[in-house]
This record gives sequence, C-alpha cells and structure tokens, in this order.
Amino acid sequence: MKISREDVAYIAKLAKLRFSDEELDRLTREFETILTHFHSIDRMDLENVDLDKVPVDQQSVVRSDEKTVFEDKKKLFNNAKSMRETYIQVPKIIE
Amino acid sequence: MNFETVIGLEIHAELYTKSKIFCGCSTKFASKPNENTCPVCIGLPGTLPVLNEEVVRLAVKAGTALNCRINNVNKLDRKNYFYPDLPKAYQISQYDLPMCSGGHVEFECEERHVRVRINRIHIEEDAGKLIHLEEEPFSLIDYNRTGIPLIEIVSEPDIRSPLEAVTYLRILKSILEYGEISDCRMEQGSLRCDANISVRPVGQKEYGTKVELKNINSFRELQKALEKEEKRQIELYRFGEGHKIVQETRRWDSGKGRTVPMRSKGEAHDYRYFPEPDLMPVIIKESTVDEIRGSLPEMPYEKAARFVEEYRLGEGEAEILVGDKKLSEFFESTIREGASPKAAANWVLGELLRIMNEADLSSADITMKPAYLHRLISLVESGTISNTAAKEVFKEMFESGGTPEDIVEKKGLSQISSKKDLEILVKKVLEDNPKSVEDYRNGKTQAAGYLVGQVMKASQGKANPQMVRDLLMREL
Ligand SMILES: [Zn+2]
Repeated sequence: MKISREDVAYIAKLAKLRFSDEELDRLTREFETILTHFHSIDRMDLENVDLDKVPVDQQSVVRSDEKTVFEDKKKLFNNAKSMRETYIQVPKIIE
Repeated sequence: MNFETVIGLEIHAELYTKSKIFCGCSTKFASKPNENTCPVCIGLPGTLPVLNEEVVRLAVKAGTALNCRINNVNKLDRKNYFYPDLPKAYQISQYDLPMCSGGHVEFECEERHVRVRINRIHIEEDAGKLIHLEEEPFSLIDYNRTGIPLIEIVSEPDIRSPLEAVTYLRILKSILEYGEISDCRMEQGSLRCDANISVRPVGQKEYGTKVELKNINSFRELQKALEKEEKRQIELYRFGEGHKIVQETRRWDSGKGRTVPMRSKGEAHDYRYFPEPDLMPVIIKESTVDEIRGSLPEMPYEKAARFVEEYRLGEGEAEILVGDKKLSEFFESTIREGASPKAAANWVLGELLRIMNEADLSSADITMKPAYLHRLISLVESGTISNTAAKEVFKEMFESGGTPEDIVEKKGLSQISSKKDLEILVKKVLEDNPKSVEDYRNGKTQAAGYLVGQVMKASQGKANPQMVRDLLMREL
C-alpha cells in the first residue's frame, strides 16, 4: 500500500483540517501502517465461511422498533450557539 | 433525426417504522422542530448507533416485492460530507454491498411492454431539514428527520419516456403501499424522486450525456420536469450544440417551470465512503428471507387480476381502483357490506372520484363509511329515492359523514311511493283538470303526459313517476 503525502493533504482538505509539514509526514507514515494492516486482512480467504456459524458477538446488535423519548432537550442543544424557538439558528448557507 | 429518451429513477422511500433507524426517537411527521431528537441522532460524540431490526425487515420486504436478490452479508458505510443538515458530518448508508440487487418491475405503457430493471435497494438514514429565511441572513435547522430510515431504490436506465417514468413511479408506490413498507406521502416527503435523463439518436448504442434532476415532489412535476429537460436536450442536439449538455445536477423549479443547474462540474463530491466502524455486519439468513417473502401481502397486480375475476370488472376499472390502495379497500368493504360489485364500482369510480378530484382530495381523506354507501345503493334500488337525489345524498355523505337515511329525511328527498298518498294526489289532479280528462277519453293520449306532470308538480317532484303513470291509467 503506497500512500503519498499528497493523498494525505487532499484528505485533510476534504476533512477541513490543516496540518504542518511535520504533521503531514507523520500522518503519511501512520496511514501507511494502518492501511498495510487492513490490506493483510483483505487477503484472508473467507470463501468457506458458514454464515450460520458466525458468532453472535460478531454480528450487528439490533433493537426492536420501539419509541423512546430523550427528555432533557435543553441539555441536548447546549452546544448550539443560537436557537430560535426550538430551531437551531445558523448563518445562512445555501449550496 | 429522431431521438430516443433514456431515463433512470432514484427513489427514496421513508420506511414505515415507529422509531428512527439508529435510535428510539419517534418518526412522527409534523412534530415540533427538534422534538424527536436525542444524542445519537444529533451526532454527539461518544454515542453509538443501534440498528432498528424493523428497518432490515422492511428493506428485505421491498427487495422481495420487487424481485430482488437479498444479500446475506450486509455492512453499512459512512458517506462523508459537510452540510448543516447532517450533524455527524457523515450519513450512514450502504456503498458496495446493498441489501438487495437485481430486481425488476414490468408494466404496459402506450402499447409498449416495459421492463424496468432494479439495480439496487439499500438502507440509509435521512438528513435534517433546513429552512433558509428570506429576509434575514439565517438558516434554521430541524433535526426531526435526521435518522429517519430510508430505502433508496435505483433503477437501470430502462425507461424511454416521461410517461413511462410516471407509470413506473406509480407502480413502485403502490407496491410499497401494499407491502406496508412505506406510506409514500409525496406531499410529506416520505417518497422522493431524482431522475437521470439523456437523449440519443434512435439506433445509437451509447448513451448521451446524462443530467440528474432533483427536487421533484409529485407525479405531475416528474412528468413536467422530464418533458422540459427532454425538450431542452433534443433542441441542443438539433442546433448542433450537443456539447452544451454537460453531466450535471439540475434542480426542478416548479414555480418557473424549468430546470436550473445546481452544482457545476469539477465540484463533484468525493464522499470518501468507508465501512461504518460502529456497526457490525448485518447477517440476513436465507430462512429469514423466505419467511418475509412468504408473509408478503397481496400485491397490486395480483389484486387487479382478482378484481377482474371475482367482481367482473374491466381491466381498466380494476387498475384505477387498485392503483389507490385505500380506494380499493373502500370498494371491497362496500361489497362486503352487501352492495353489488357493479353498483359499488359505479359509485366509487363515478361520483366518489369526481368529488375527490374536484376538491383535490386523496383517498386518505374519505371519512364516509362503506356501510353507508351500501345503504344508499339500497335506497336507490328499492325506489325510495331517485338516482339524481342519490347523487345529492352521496355528496352530503362525503362531506358530513352522515347516514344516508338522515340526509334523505333532512333534505326531504324520498320519493312518494306510498300508494295511498299518491292516490289522493292523483284524484285531486283529475278533479282539478276535467278538461284534460275529457280530452284523454276522447282519444287525445298526450293529455296523459300533462296530467302526470301535474301530479309530479303537486308532489314537489317526490312522486315515483312510474307509479303515478300506472295509477292515472287505472283511474282514467
Ligand atoms: Zn434520536
């Protein structure tokens, strides 16, 4: 897996993050290590895995379709800079 | 040169669940802004999504109803983008392993047998709603819709005209309604449609440059938007300006009746999809798929065939009824109450649809009880009221929900069919018109018509004309 410094810089731009040159170098090396690890997982032969034998703890946990109410709405919107009635108010953004 | 239009549709349908896809918040429409939110669906750090099992069930149901293969191993993926309608800055969706793939829908449209292949159906969460204030430099955010479960149904480009596109959407909508997969209220945004459209010279194999149309909220708008875009593209090709058609997204502006560019090329989004690490793979066993397939309710095309067979309806009549689930249920309930299929079909396809169209109402607005329609039909059949009066009663029943008997009574619409009452009227008219009686007896048969008219007038139009005629003849 070959990751270039440009790849990292591009992804940082997409994520709206800014890094110094040293940080970019370090992140490039780390990306490389992480992706090499996933690459070796990708090469595992899973052709003959029996789905009925996938352990339950390796399957998604699901919930039944039941309603719950989160009461503390005030706390929930504590981080919102500005509210108008129960709406969150932000500077106008039109794509 | 003649051109051929090529259309594919991407349809988002809100799934019919009580709670959201990854949290227990309610999916109720028109709640107070931000009423149905919690730390999970507004994306607070440290929260974890837990998948609603009903979402998987309904998506599999949609897949089986649309003849798809169901994927046994499923995963969810993150689609990353920054916009205030998406509090986590990523949407949990499915990228390369959709839950269902390879289905199809078949129908007839203008003498063409159309088979629209379905590329895929995947599950995902909806985003929030933004309101951009006109007079002020602010946008308002409501996160009630964030995390509402959706399926996206992507067709192959097998549609060849705007009318076929509308027909396909109608059929898909009725299948989702019959399967109780989505309530498909387009006006509430629970069924939304984007369309890809291109044109090419007839006979050419390669597709022309396609344009994506967004923001289409009704069948009428879909047809109009596609017709407009089809015309725009064909004209550009005809004037040798085909290069001006670029792959882009255009928004349908229903007010102005035209499409306008949304995003310019080059700005194409790079969503950096990657597997959602907060959710383990979702495994759907073949036995579960079989069980769901077996539990599918009667589909619209099956019901239409049954209506033709069981109630002797014409195919066209059956299709109109079945195309609207609630309407077809109202029709069948009226028969179950005891009405004849023919009379029930006449009233439902005639007066009921006429009134609904005039008032721009949908079948969800019908409050009239099927039992009342059956009783109204009986009142006509027994001669208690005339056909004309019945239409008046029907309209009143539709509007007020009252019983036919009460309305007949209140409006004084019942025909006088009691012999005794009529005999009195007839005798009086004969006494008052000795000249006409004599004329008739001297062979002027048209005098009888005049006398019948006089009796009808005396009864204020409530007499049963046939009985009046019979009684007069006997007296004369
Ligand atoms: Zn929630």
